[in-house]
Amino acid sequence: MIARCSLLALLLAGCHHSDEAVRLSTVVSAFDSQGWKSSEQLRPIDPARFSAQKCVGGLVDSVDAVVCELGSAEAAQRAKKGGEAWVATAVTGVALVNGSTMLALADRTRTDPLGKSIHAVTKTYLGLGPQLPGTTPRR
Amino acid sequence: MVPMSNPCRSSLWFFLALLLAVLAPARSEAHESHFLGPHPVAAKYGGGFCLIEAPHMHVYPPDHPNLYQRVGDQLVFTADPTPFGYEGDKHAFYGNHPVTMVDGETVICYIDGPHYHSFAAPDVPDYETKKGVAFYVGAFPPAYVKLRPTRARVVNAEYRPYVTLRPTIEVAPPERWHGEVWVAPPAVGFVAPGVVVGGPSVGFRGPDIEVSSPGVTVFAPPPPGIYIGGPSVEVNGGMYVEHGGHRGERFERREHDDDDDDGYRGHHDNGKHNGWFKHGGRGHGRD
Repeated sequence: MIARCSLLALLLAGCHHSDEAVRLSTVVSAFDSQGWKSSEQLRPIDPARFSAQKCVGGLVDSVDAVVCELGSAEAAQRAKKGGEAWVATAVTGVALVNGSTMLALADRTRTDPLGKSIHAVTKTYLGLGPQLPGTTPRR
Repeated sequence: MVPMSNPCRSSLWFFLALLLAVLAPARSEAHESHFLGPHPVAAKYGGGFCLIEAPHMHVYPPDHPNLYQRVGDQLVFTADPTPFGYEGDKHAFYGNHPVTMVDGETVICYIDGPHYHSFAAPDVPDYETKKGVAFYVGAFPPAYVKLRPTRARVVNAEYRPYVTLRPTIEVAPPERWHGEVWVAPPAVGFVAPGVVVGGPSVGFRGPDIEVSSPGVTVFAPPPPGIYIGGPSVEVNGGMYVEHGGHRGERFERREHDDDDDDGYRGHHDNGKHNGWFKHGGRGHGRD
């Protein structure tokens, strides 16, 4: 019985750390758990601009945000360019990928002059699942 | 009747078209400043210290470009955040040391003498910590030898106005440390004709050298060395450092006579502040 439970735990742990685990719903849930009410704040937007399957946009911790889900990690890397274009002329912006998702944030109204919110959001985002090369946060 | 074109108007249109052609690319390149890690915010945008650790973009270029190392298209702030509005935990270092690894390139802090960083030195053999001060005792990459003369000069010039913000350090460097001895520059003051005002006296006693003069940074150029990089290791809580069991010849700049811990004095701030102890000793990561 103990062995069976251990196996189940291992399987669950394996699922949790799988690259496939980082999907749009995972990101939104993680943001919700931080108290940012992303399920309410983020609404579906046109994913074509980011060459994505689906995207949501809105405010996350008072910062403009877009989260997209793509078919593969490679596609997410390509979508990063779209995220950078979306940031446009915001004073501060990020475009990151994790798993099959892309996150873009833009502080257009200078509500986050020292990047506290953006740092918190990116830290939560990059902390999900395994890291891709080039996205490991410097700590 | 065909109206004749106004040459002034044509010139005006040509000028406007030229202006648009010049300005249009500039607008689309508004985010050409890509940063990796925390850094000072440009004064024009309110100053302070940006806390974002992940790769990010700003519309502004850095105010102090000498304090950054460019890796690819990213700018990495490599210096002491204290003069730039940083208010988090601080950790004392002495001398040059690696800051992080970005795409296989070692990013190095070129500040001579005592200074702070927002991160603590990793608990690896390449660092030796004495009384809360981290000394880098490992090998440097070849690029360091090449770049140090230029980089150290410009970086340390940037910090000349901020001597009083440096940590107070009264500890002898470890035997394995082979860095540069730093002497605080003289305090800025008014000197009337016929009056001599001395700066702080800081001395270092080594086996063959004695320095006791304000305003002098003493160092000897390092001989060429061989460096073989080991595996890159991430150390949680501070930085990435390159180390491993394949280290090549380490730079031997100067032999220290470490038989007297009192023989070394770092910068003295004349009691103006409590150094890193004002933050309750060795702090924890910002997070």
